[in-house]
Amino acid sequence: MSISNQDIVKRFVEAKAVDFNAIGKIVTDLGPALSASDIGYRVVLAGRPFIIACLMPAADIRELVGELRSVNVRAAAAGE
Amino acid sequence: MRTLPQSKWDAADLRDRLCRALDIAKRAVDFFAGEGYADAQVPENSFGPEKPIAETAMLLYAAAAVRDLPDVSHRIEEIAHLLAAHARSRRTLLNVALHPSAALDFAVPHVLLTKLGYCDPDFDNLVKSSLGWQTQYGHERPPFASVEQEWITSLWTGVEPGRDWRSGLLDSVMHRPLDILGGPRQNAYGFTHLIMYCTDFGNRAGRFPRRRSTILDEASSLLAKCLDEEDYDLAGELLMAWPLMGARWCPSAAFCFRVLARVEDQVGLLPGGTTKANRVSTLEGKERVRYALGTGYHTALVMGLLCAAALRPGRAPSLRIVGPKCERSFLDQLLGCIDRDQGHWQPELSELTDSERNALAPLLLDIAIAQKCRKHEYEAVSQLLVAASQHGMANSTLCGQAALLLERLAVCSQGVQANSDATGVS
Repeated sequence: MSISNQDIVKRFVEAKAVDFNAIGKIVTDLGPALSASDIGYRVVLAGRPFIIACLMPAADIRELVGELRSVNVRAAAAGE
Repeated sequence: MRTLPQSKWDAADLRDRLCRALDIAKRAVDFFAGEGYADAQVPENSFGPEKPIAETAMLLYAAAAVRDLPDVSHRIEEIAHLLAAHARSRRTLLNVALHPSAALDFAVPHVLLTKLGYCDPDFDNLVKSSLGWQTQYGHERPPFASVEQEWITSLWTGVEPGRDWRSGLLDSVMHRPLDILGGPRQNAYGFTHLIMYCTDFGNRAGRFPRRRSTILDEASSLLAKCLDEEDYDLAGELLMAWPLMGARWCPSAAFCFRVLARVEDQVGLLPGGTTKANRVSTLEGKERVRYALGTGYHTALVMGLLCAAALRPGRAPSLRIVGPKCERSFLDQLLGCIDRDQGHWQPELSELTDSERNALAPLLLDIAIAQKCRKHEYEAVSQLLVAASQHGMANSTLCGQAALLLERLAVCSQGVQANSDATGVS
């Protein structure tokens, strides 16, 4: 039988205290080497990257949208 | 007589957003259905013509559910005729012959157009004659992609999906908890796509291997992470879960739709992270158009798919953000620890009433956890979980997964310490 999220958290709260600051520092120091975000599957078909599943984004990379609000991308795409 | 405030998102606004997405799709077909898009500066942005052709076909398929609406019908008609030439081109036939294990993928636009009534029996026969060869199944696919194959085959043949559909679903993230904090992005796409296929883009109720409430809880926690990461592509796909599954929009999902709509209004289309303001500003002429369209059309289509689903009867997002109340002190604690360095949701949140912000406490908790995990501030995650547990709020998927992460790190820290003691390296 699966355990509820609330019970998982309760078990954690009741467990012995751990120095998470120290482990956080280790993870930060090793940061990029531990990242799994770039793991993906991509095949090359007919000389171009071709994502088998439709609607996949063009790139696997994740970047912030940031301050795009000053730019009207739709107008640019429409040649305006 | 007193007029009650509107409780659902305005259908005319949803229709306008869908029409804008259809217009962008038409332009993307014009520009990229022949040769695709090549970005020399950021090659990862490049794609072949198959991608916009298939995605546009899917948008048409989803939009057809509301084709009776003014302005939608003629757009579908126009784009379908434009698309048909590319979907059934010599290139497609050659691809089917050269890559039999991807034959169904290449046939997706043709099948969807056929379902919409834009048939071509000769092409249909040609493609069918290319299927069934020994190597048709000679491609390793993740479970969600196998379900995708079953879905498109079912649409094509008119026969309900069989045993392979069920076993694919049982192997997928629709049946097993999605690893929100540590999993690659492709898992999340598997999750969102499976909802599209299981419901046939809202055409059927859909049968899921887990309880709908569990699936929507996961979607809700993943939404929080997307808002923090400004990942509106994935957020848009996740939001489809509510209208496609016919579920009542929870406060988090209703708020997220509001954020996406606002960002779309500000940028002109729902943006993804691949479009860069400085390149849009510095490029000129046709290159500027190609860059803006090539990097921007995909998320614009996602917004169109979302609005098409939300336009189905009774599926529009709630305008009011109403939910169970949490203690004010807990909300203040959450607002005090949330980082303000990124996320377009923040100005939107500041415009809400106290009552609405209070109803979003579960979302704010998930966002705070996602932020702290992203920055490896695990002590802060621990404190958030303790506080959430004390206030009876630690019931989201992300709360559970964060607690499990900390448990694993606690075990790991013992091993790291032992390793340091043995090697003398700290």
